[in-house]
Amino acid sequence: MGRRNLSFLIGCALALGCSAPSKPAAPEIADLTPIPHDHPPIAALPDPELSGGHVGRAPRRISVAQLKASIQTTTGRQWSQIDKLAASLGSADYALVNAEATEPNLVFAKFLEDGAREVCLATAQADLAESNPDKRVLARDVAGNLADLRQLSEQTRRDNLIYLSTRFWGQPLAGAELDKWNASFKAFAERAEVAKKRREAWGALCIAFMTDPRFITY
Amino acid sequence: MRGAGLLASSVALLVLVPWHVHAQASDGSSELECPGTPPAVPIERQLRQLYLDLLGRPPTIEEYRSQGTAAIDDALVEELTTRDEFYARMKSYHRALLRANVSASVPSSNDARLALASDGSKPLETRGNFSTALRGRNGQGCDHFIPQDDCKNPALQQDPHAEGAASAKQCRDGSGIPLPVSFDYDTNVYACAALSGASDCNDAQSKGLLPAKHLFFCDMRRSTTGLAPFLCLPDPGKPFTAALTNEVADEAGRVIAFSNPNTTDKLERCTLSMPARDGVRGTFAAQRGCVQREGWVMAPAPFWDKSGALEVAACAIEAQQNLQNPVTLASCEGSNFLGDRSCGCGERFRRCEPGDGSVFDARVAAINEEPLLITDSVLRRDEDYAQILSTRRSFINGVLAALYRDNQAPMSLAISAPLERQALPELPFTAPADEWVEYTRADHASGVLTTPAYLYRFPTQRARVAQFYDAFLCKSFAPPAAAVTPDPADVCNRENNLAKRCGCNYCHATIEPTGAHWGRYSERAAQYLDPLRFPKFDAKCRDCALAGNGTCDGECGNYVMQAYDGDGASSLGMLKSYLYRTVADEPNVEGGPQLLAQRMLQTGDFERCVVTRVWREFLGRPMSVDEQKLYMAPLVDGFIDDGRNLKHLIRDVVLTDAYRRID
Repeated sequence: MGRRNLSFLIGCALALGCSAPSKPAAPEIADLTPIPHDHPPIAALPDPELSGGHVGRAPRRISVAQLKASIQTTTGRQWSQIDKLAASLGSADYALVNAEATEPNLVFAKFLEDGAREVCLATAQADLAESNPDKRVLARDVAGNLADLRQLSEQTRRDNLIYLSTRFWGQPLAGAELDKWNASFKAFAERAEVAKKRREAWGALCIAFMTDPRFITY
Repeated sequence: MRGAGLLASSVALLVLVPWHVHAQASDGSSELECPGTPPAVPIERQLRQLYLDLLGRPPTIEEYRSQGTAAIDDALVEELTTRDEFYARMKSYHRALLRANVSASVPSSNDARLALASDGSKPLETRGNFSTALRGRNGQGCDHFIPQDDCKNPALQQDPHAEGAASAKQCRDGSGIPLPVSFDYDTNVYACAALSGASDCNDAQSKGLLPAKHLFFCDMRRSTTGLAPFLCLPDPGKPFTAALTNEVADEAGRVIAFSNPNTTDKLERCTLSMPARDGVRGTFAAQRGCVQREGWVMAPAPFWDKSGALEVAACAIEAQQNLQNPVTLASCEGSNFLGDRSCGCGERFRRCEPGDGSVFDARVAAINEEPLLITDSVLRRDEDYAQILSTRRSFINGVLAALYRDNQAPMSLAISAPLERQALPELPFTAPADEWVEYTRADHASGVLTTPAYLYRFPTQRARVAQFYDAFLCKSFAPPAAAVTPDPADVCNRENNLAKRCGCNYCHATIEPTGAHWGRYSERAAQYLDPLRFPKFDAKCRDCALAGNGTCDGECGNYVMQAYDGDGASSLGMLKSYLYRTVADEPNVEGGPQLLAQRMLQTGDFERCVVTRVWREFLGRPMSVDEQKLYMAPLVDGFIDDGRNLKHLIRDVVLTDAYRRID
């Protein structure tokens, strides 16, 4: 600690030219020995300009196989049409199509919305019938039975949204974005209770998470 | 729903999000943080990336919680690479690398498929293009109403007015080959009119509906309501038959043929006898304009039958089990078995398939899976990754075992058994398709390079070389930028040897001698050309070639039988793989893909290519020039030092700082 501070001060002094201002000092023999420090060695980063703008891993859309596994992992059920639509979603068969297409395009987005609707509404329905929160997918942080959604506390809503964003995206919601999602969930809850379609509130939330770009990119 | 714009903007957002810097060093000690360090990317996001890349799925919520805020370390990566999900992920990687799908590369087996009636009551029969050779018309099966060996039963006669006495009928010839038991006039040639009001041809004649002279052209045709008489005469609407205006009668005045008065064209009345094809005894040709059907028999249940039935009804031709034509001795084990009336589908219908295509699909799936199991076994055992190109170890399931052992599917697949048939693992066809048994192939086998999947997917020697260079050396064949296109008049354009032809030789000087490593594997098939059976030079083939018999009756398909230049002339009777090969190239043919794999390891290109591919797979982009200076040498050296352990290389790549940063 002391040695590091001392080195730092010496460094500052050298860098800022800290010296007695009164009279010009006689020229001294410069000491060019590097000042010792205990910073670990730093590996040089590749120059982005020489690397096509890249310095790390390129973000990309998940493949169809990863999408299938993601849906199963996050919701515990499978989209019934995914194998049938695999080629349209970009899957390669390596007989006639040799490369997996992972461009985020409208066809993928449209089919994913269909899949999210199927999977999410079924998941929401199952959650409503489940009294044990630990066995639920969408409402794990809501204790007891899933009654009137308008009665959920602010903290419960927020905790559950953080749980869902972690589950679906691996990115816990926070800050202003969490506020926005919280407001949306409140609106879903209001409408669902008025329309007496509680399943659709949870389903809409699930669809929003599954169709978010953070679900299909990594 | 947000559309593509949002997706694209999300990717852009991800690019801007700073990536997490190590919170802790791998030994657990805290690292120093520099002023201005960007806010850390959540550990959950790192974990998701790692799981999706290594396991093909995101973490479960339990796995997120179990990880907590602990940094990703070597131990976690190590643990993930021991899971079955990782191996499944690597099978997908190798499926893409090897393009392991032959579904579009193997010929269809449609002609060898046995039609199945929906109610299962009709006999198994082929109705493909070969029906013309067997029965006189495409799409025709056998007679479903007459048991072959009960053909003399008078009650079962279809056309007694034309067949003669039932007792005189012959159900089989002297060699046991089934003969026709009924016939119909072919409506492609004849115009048939129903004789309404009559129960049979004799009744029609007695009622004056049928002229007596046309009795033999009265045809009892079967419909859903049973047999009914029709008068069939040469179709006046077709030029060929309209010209058959001359009626040829027997001594009783009954017409027995229609002929063209100006030519020798003639249509004779249909009977139950079949003339020899081109006069060759032991062969059969249906009468012109006639559909001649054999009857049905009970035969042992087919190999794919899982119902437990011991016997099924089948057409008498298909039910035969001959290994060769009993008279001509022509083999029944080739693709022409269906055109020979004496062959049949073989024991338990091994040469044929069910009509639903399920056996064909099962074979294609098994062929596709085999190379992936080879790569998987190398990974699981932490073996030298180069073993995927050289190991003799492979795997076999019931579908492949039956294919090799019983010489099935000669119509669609030309695959050599990878081992002596009697030494193959005993697995029935009906064993579960995912039950694979490890075994050691014959000594010429060489990893994935000699699997039917590779040989069929890349059907020519040139295609096999191109794929080898692309997949394992990361090189492709293209002429250099400074390549010179020769003048069209240049005599070198007429050089038949592509390794020498100007312009072509930029690539083919390498492709041709390298392709010779597959010289003992036939093209467009997966057959090993055993030196004992296919010597380098076959005098018989040369003699056939010199005699102008270009195929040597189908026995010299793998030999040089035509010459286009001096080299070709001196190579007549040689295996095609030796054509244009120099003395220095010839060891490539005999050394096979094993020799190629050995040579590959002497260059260092294989190791660099594996690193390049793994980098691209996990970072989603190629390694830049600048990165190659930083990462290539350490990764390649580490890969070699680890005994070319692919799992360790993957761990090294996902633990690089480049993988931990996000663009």
